[in-house]
Amino acid sequence: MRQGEGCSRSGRRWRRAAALLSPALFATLTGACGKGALDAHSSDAMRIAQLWWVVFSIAGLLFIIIMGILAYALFHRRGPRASTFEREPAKATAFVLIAGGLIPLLILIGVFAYSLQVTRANTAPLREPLRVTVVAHDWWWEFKYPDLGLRTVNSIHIPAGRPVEFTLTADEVIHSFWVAQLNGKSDAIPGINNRLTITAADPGTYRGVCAEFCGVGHLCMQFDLVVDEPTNFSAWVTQVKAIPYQQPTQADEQYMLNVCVNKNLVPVCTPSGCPDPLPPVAGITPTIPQFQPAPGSPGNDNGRP
Amino acid sequence: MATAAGRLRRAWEAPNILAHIFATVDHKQIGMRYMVTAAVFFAEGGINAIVMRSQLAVPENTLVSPNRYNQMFTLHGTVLIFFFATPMVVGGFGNYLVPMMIGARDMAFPRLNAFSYWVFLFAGMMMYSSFFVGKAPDGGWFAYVPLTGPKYTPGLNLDVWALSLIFLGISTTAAAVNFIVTIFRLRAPGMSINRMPLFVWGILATSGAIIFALPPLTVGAALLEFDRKFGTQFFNPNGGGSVLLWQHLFWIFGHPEVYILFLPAVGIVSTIIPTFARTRLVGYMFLALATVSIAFISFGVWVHHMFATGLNPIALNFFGAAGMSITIPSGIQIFAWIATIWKGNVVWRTPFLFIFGFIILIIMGGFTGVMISLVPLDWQLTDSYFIVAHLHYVLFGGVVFPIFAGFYYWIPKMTGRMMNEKLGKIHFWLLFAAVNITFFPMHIAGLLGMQRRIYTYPSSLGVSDLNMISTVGAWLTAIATIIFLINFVHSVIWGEVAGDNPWHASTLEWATTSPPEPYNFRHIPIVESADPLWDAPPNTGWDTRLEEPAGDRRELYATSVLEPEPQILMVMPEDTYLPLLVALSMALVFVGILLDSMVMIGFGGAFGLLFAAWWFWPQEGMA
Repeated sequence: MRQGEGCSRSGRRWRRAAALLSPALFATLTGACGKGALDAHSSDAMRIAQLWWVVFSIAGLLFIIIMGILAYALFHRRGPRASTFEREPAKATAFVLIAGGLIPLLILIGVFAYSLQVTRANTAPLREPLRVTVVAHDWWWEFKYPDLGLRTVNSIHIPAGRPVEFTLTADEVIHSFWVAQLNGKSDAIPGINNRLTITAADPGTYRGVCAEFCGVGHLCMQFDLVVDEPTNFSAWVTQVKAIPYQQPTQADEQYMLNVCVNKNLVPVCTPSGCPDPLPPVAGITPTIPQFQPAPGSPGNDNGRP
Repeated sequence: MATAAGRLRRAWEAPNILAHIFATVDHKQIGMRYMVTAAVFFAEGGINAIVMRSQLAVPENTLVSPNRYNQMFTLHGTVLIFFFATPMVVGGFGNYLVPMMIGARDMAFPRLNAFSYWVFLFAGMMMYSSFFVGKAPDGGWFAYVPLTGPKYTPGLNLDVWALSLIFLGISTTAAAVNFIVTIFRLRAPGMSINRMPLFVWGILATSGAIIFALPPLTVGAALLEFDRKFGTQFFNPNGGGSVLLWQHLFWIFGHPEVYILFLPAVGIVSTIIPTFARTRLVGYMFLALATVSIAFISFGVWVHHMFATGLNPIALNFFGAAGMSITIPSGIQIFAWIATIWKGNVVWRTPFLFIFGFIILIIMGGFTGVMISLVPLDWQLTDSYFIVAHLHYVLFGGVVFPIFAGFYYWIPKMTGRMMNEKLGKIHFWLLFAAVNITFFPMHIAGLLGMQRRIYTYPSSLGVSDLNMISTVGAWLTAIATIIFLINFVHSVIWGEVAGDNPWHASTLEWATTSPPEPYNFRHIPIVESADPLWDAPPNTGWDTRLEEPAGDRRELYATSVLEPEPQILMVMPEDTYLPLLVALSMALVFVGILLDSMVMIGFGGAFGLLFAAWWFWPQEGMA
């Protein structure tokens, strides 16, 4: 399924369940099936989306029930006789302990057990994964494929159907790797290697961002994650291998920052990304020669308009 | 008795206007100052929010620069948590109400109380003034290293943050100690521990939590300053330091902090509900136990904020379960309130409306809280706008709504005049709508992939409409707050005279005049039930076990802890300028550290020691 076409199958099923349970809440959340966490396109994200819809349905149902009880409590008028709770305090206490303590406890145990299962499934060891090392820099992403001998910047391709194991780290400050349609976040922390898995189901281009505030370039840390059909992926590998990798220099980093942050310096750029310095060749570093110092900075006389 | 009352008044009121302003140690004056100062910080944090929401109204907006935006959300969080919410509920409501609710004439340490306020004021000024010179902290309210370390934030910005919080911590800790001693030793005879108003329980639990929660923050901030000023490597991974150490230190403070705000607010709720349901609370004991148990459990939940940091999944799930377990005492509280409402007949006055709004919003925030305590869901939701929605439901719904309820409820006691009901109801419905309009769409924006702390967003993300709705809500929130201000001014000038007990409430603060005399109670009440004003009015004579004091000095009883029996008659301190002078000297020291000025540190330290010595010099007649 192409990205943006709608909810994933599992998502749609649970959405329908939620729709039956709580029409009003469902209506407000329909919009949430855009390109976010609930539009799941990997087995990892689907498990989380299912957990979401289960918990959301239970929460929605309970919310309606509690509001009903609250409304009754608020609006029923006690007659001249003392109310039941007044006459029999033990009943009031039992009501508080059962409705406020026991019932939530039982529901929470069930939900917690389910979430344990999802945690386990999403952190399970993978069979023959494609390994990708992610190094988060200030403020750009470097992706290394140790088994393939490849490196790319701000753009990453993976094959559909094959488990991918990301090893995340950072060289300066903490960042967080988030492709909402494919899995939850995992922080990229200097001095630590974190692990995140994605088994993508559907080819497409997915939006990745940095989710941990990392300074002035936080918003600029966006990347494309492209899920290819396995054959297309092999072709892409061959194509990229022919191009020599060039690490962005400090001037390049500064340029990327200027492009993204100080839009007054380079008006062509939008926060959707920096299309000009990172063209559709998937952000592989041969695009680096296009990086030029921002107009007006010292030693520059060929800045773009 | 006029002469006796006159003697009392002479003993307790400030001798002149200058002393009244700068030297008072009256808990009511200090409490109201806390409230006004915290309200100013609320306005400042709110203005930040309005500017940020205006920036986010449309995609790719350029109203605010990224640097300024980063300063704004950092100040917004820091100021509203540390300089509005905590001082408002603990310093403001706590100071004003606790001594009166327990039938005392002042806090146990009145001068320390004044000192707490002055330190709070100066620390807040230090924090906020940085914004006007463009050096405001910009690392987020939890200031994660290494971003906030010397290499990545070289300016004064983060030094302001760390030093102001260390300075403020002195005030908060002093206040907490003061409350614990006050609550344990100054309760009126007969007010056994199971007759204490639940607001007092809330302040007691919160004070205990403050004492254990603040040291990790102070230590963390101090280590950060060592890294920044002296080149130590506590948080530098390249120098053998640990990045995650900061997160552990911050959140082992930060999670209890949420409940430090919440428990007094819950106390306000438990105090107001019986008054307007016109019946006694259901499950007093369970509410008290829930309050204390939440304060305890909150210390086992900090990793809740670190689910994406790659810690072991078993550890994550342990902390997830711990976080979830807070649902049980919270559920018991909510159903105890519902049962109380059920038992009685509701009188729909403005304070109760805000409690009604609180219950709905806190249930919403509670449900999203359970969602983010589930580890896999949190991986998706953390650091997204879903969290922004959740935390505002909990803090705006769970703390600000009870604060407004408390204002409508107790302002008649403070000023002697009622607030306007019609304006109050308009305020409530507008605010209730505005809060939902602002924060509900953020849940969806977060699920759609909008991350936190971005100064703008691409239109392709599909969150533009949601953000516009949120921005409209934020402006409505501002309008609602202005209506409250108008109501307040109107009430002070033209408000209906309140009388001692306009709500026919049951707790002791309503046994005094409105506004209360400087000495609170002509006679120390003797309490015989948990709802003293509903049962036999408290005995207003003197306890025959002790001789009635002459009343020409400031005197009050210290009583025993569980079943208060009068033990000694304490002579309380007069008004004094020393707390202000010591706080000023300390402010000089902290500004000196900030600006690396040995002269300021030297002068501040020397004067501080001098004034402190003067303060502690033994005085005749004082215990």
